[in-house]
Amino acid sequence: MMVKERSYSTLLFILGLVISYYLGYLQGLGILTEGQVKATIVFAAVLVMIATEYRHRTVAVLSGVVALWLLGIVSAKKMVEAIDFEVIGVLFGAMIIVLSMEKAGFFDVVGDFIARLPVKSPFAMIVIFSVTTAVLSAFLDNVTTSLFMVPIALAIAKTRGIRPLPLLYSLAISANIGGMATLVGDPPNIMIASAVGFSFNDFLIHAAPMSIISLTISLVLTYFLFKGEIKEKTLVKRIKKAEEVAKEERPQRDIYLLVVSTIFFLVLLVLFILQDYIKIKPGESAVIMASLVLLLGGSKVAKVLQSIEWDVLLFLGGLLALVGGIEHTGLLSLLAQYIVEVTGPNAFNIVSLVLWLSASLSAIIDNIPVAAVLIPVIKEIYSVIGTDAVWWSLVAATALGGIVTPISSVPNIIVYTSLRREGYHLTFTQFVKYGMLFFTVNLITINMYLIVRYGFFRL
Amino acid sequence: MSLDIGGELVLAGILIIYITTVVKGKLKATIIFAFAVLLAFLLHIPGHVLLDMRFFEILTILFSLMILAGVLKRGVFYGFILRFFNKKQLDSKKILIMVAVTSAILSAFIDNVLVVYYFVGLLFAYAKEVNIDPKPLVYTTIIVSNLAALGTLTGDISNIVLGVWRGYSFLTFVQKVGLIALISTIVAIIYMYYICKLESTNIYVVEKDLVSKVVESEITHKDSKIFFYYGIVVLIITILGMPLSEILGLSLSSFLGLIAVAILFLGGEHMKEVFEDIRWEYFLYLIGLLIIMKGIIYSASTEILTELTKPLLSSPYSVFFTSLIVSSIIDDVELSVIAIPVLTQLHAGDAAWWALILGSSFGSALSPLGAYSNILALSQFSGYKSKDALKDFFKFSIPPVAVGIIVSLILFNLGFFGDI
Repeated sequence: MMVKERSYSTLLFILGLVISYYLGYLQGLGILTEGQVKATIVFAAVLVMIATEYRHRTVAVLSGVVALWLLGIVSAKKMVEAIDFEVIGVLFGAMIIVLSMEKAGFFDVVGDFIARLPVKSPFAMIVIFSVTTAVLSAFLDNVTTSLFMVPIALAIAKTRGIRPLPLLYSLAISANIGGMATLVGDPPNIMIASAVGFSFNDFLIHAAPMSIISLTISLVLTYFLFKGEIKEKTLVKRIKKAEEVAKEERPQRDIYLLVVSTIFFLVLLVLFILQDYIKIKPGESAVIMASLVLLLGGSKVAKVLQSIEWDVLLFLGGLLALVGGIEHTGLLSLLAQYIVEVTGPNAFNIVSLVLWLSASLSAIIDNIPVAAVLIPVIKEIYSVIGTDAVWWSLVAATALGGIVTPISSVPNIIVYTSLRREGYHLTFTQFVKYGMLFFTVNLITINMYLIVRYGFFRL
Repeated sequence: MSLDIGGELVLAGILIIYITTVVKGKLKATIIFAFAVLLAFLLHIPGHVLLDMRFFEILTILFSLMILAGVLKRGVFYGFILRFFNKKQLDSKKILIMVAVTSAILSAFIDNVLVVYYFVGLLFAYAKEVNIDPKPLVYTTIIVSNLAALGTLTGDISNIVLGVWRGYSFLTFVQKVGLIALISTIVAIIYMYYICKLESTNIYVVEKDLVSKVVESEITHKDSKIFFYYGIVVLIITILGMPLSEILGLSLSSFLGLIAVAILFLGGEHMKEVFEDIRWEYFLYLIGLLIIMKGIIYSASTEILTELTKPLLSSPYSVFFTSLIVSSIIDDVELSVIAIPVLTQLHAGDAAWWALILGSSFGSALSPLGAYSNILALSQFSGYKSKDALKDFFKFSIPPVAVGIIVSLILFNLGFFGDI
């Protein structure tokens, strides 16, 4: 193990040296300034730390911010100014409302409802679970959704004799794809919406169809890939009813909080939809609705505060500051120019490149830093090609990147570990094989959709 | 004098601050934060007004101190300190003195709320184990922490808020109020030594094993010793670095931010637990208060408040006594966010600002309701708000605070804080 770690570190060290040498060469040619070289090294180091989990991602990002400041590349004031509080506001507000619904037993209600459905066909059950998960992920946090749907799915699989692999795998895919559909579905969506000014309705019109297409394709793939497993029945365990198994891991229902949080959640959705008319930004709406839930939700809301993922908010704030700092050096503008030079001002090429490149990056690195760094680049590109398709390709890519490996996204981690815990010997490689298939087919489909929808065939 | 909607809202906010004094912990933070957000929205306060650099400086300092306190807590720092004193075979009275000295030193450099928060729980366990009354230990820790915290910019949240707002440096704080904090803390410790009766009339020699047992029960992590040494090193660097940073031309928030990131980075995977220990709800509480402060400044309520409070804040002496009385009822940081806009509106001189800093700190030490940390610590006693409990606390707090007040007034009279 030690030897493996050492060779890994040596490899990274050599790679670092090569990149530094190349950057020094570019600086010698006058292509990059000293500040840009330093900024690239800092950012690369942060990405390596995140990808290899050398340090907690929040710590890695904060270290990057401090490094930029210490090296005199960007002032602290400039980086603070780069933090987009609209993004933090949407995420923070949505987190509070979703956690309140979770603590009140919302997922328990959903689980009970699904468990009572008189569905006999295993594939129909897979479809119901996948669609429910995708819809919930579109409006709620996909991590929370997966955390709650997985035990319910497992319980139902056991009591109805369904093999858990297709059910759970499909659930993970749906959680990732569902997040693509709305402005609040995934943090990259919030970042993109805030940077470009897309409304909730824009997402419903442009991103939701991609999500529906992807989900349909994935369900078809699931059927053909796991045909044997779907038809094969397992030993039915009737020791406990599905509802009972699911309930064991659920909090006690708090009807009052459930009503309050659901009402404000629905009001929030209405505010999002009416955003263009009432002129209240999504961040403001989310924080205000969250505040009302906190004020009126009763004593249980104190528990909500404990469960907020503060480190995610700090990570996002730090990342926006870091990328803002790098953007200030002019590095991202150079990258955008380079991309346009390579692809030419051809919208089809650029949109396809953004789709495949950002999806591949999101499969390796967390999709939040991918979006953070690509947004300023795409802004520059957008000024050249002028089509919104480039933004929607980024939305799709950051969501689809999450389906490749067991560690590409949190829903995958949850499903992968649950399956292994259940004694299902799904290896990392097997998961990646399935993931690559779903990833490639979905990307091809979305690429074709973008061509047709935004009329690139006429170019 | 008529109130517009903005003024009414802000005044309602202030009322909420007062009312929620009776609510403790997370619920209070929740109410204040939620109200502040609604206030900012209804008053249409622009984001750049709400979230300026001073706002970030305050939060960075607090975050850094929390990280440092978290490392010390994970290292069972207070437990090891207690065990160290006990190894010296000190009796309970001497242990009380050593606890007081430790609290004082730590509170001067780390926010006293954090010191009280982490120390008091252990003292309760310790007192239970050796079968003594925990009150003297807990009261001493609270009073001494509040008094010692007065001496530095990082000692107390209200000092951080006021210091950053006024642009006072760490060294300025030490020069101006360090001596008063030192004198009142020493008086407090000597006074405690004489009046404490930990075990009726007997001097109780604590068995070595009992303290070890208390400490062992606190050790929940196998790497506690690593955390302990790591915490000590970081604490020393921070204590030495805070005054030095200014000489090097670094702002305090930059230096502490740097220290926090260094702690997190060098601490590796263990830092996840330190992250978990951060009391994030306190950030919400502080953010809420800062937003309310901005609301007071942004709306017409500053003028209304100034008109209403002018007689109480007309001179540094009146500022001193008003803040002393008010902050013995509400948290001193809650007082600060109301006083800052008013004093700014009145173009108050330095003496008035130091009067506010001193008065609010003495108020915190004087009463059990004077600080968030006091309520947090004392709520572990049943009936801590009863008349007897208040009387009990005042018996401990009045003499040292009185000495501090007298010293302060002499210095004010001598013009040490500027023209009166």
